[in-house]
Amino acid sequence: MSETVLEVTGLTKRFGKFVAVNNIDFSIARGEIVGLLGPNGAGKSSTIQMLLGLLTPSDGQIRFFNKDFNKHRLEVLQRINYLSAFNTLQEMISVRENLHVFAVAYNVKKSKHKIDELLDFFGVLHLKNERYQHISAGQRTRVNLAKAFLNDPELVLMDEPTASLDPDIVDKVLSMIEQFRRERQLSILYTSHNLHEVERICDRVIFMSHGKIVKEAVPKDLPSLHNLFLQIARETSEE
Amino acid sequence: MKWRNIRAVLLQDLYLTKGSMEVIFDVFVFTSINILLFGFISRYLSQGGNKGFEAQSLLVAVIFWEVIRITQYSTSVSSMWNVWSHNLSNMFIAPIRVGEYFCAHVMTAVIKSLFIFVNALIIARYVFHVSVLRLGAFPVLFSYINMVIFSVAIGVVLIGLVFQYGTQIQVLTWATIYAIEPLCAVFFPVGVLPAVIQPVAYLFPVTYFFEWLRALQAGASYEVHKIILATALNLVYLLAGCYIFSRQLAAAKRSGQIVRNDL
Ligand SMILES: Nc1ncnc2c1ncn2[C@@H]1O[C@H](COP(=O)(O)OP(=O)(O)O)[C@@H](O)[C@H]1O
Ligand SMILES: [Mg+2]
Repeated sequence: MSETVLEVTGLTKRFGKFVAVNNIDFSIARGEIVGLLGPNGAGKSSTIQMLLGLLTPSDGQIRFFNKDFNKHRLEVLQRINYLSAFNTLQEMISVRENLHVFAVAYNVKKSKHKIDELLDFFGVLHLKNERYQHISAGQRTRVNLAKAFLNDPELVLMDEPTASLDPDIVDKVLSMIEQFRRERQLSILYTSHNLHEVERICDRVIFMSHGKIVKEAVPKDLPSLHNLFLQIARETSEE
Repeated sequence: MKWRNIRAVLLQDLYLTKGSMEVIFDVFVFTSINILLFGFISRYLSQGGNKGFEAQSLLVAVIFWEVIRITQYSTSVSSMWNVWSHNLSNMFIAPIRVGEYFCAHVMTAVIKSLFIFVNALIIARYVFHVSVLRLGAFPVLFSYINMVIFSVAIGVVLIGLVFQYGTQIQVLTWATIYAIEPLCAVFFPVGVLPAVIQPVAYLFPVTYFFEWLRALQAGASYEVHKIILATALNLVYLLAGCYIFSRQLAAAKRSGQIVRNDL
């Protein structure tokens, strides 16, 4: 059996009476890309935020690398990272300055070299001295990818990283993630409401709806699940 | 507390201060303009046989007031820059303690306030021929330190309010201090305030320091026990401020408001 990098048991988030995440269990193995798929409001972001310690769970346990997240917060944060279309970097400073701040925070060795290497990999090295404010959405996503890989994370939590991007740029970003991952043992938790995206890059998919896990599948079974997914999405949009 | 973590946040503050006209104007330009403005007002008032010290005391008062304003502003608004950029989550999921993050913002606030304080002393001395240091190095330095402590205490609670209740109340992080200003007897003795408000003024530790500075300028004495009381009160404010902030942060993480601000 392969090593588990993340194990979630009974994770629950209540906002007042409303249950956004309802007693979910799942785990991620080293090197595995797991998709968290579900319509808007399913509880995907809330789950990721709890995993990052930004949102306090109402109940349940989170263990990274076999360690209780509550007790080993900083050690865990040093070994994971996060990427989301909704969180950008500091607008008023340059790309390089932004990455330098995080390189210091993550204690990255030879940070100058590392920053250049990552920016180059994601094809945005030429934007190094641009103000973050002045670069396009697609370019931001690539810079954010560089930030997310700065500390050589063992696990990256990605919350709809491609939202608000044009389809051809989405394709490019996904290729980059795939290529990056091929070169190392990297685990990813990838949330999306887009079945095709998840189908393409994930080893395993968890369907979420109304805060609950309703199904788990591997991509080869996904075609047969298209209808299930459409049904869930339709039900949600009708409410 | 790790120096490396504090350094990361300091670095961000440094880049931000260097790179944004807003920060440079808010902190350095407007402060200098205010000092000049009050310098001219006091020069005008001291013409025509008025007692010089009362007019001059306005200039001394505004210098210390700017220390309060800038320290509080910088303590709170440093985080707002991260909120406005949707970067606060990135900062909070880096392996940095919240204490380290805020320690860095307080350090930046102190550096900025020290810079504008020295700048103001120079303007007062060479443009208006008012030497603040003649009041004594100890009273000046001790008052400065207390103004800073007070502003940090207020600053953390104000940013805590935004974490807890959202960016719709962000105006509080830079405007609240103006509501406190008349109550702290910055420019006039507490005795000028209506009798019912006077006890409220003495709830603010900095009131005592403004009174002390005025007494020194008038050549009058000021009771030592009041200074001790004010310093103790100030430390209570600081501890209470940090405690309240920790509760606000916990509440914001429970309600999810802190992430909502950042989306
Ligand atoms: N801070 C909050 N307070 C109250 N309700 C919230 C909060 N955050 C999210 N929700 C609700 O919880 C549900 C799940 O939200 P979210 O986790 O963002 O879903 P997803 O990312 O799958 O679209 C939604 O109905 C949302 O409105
Ligand atoms: Mg979401």
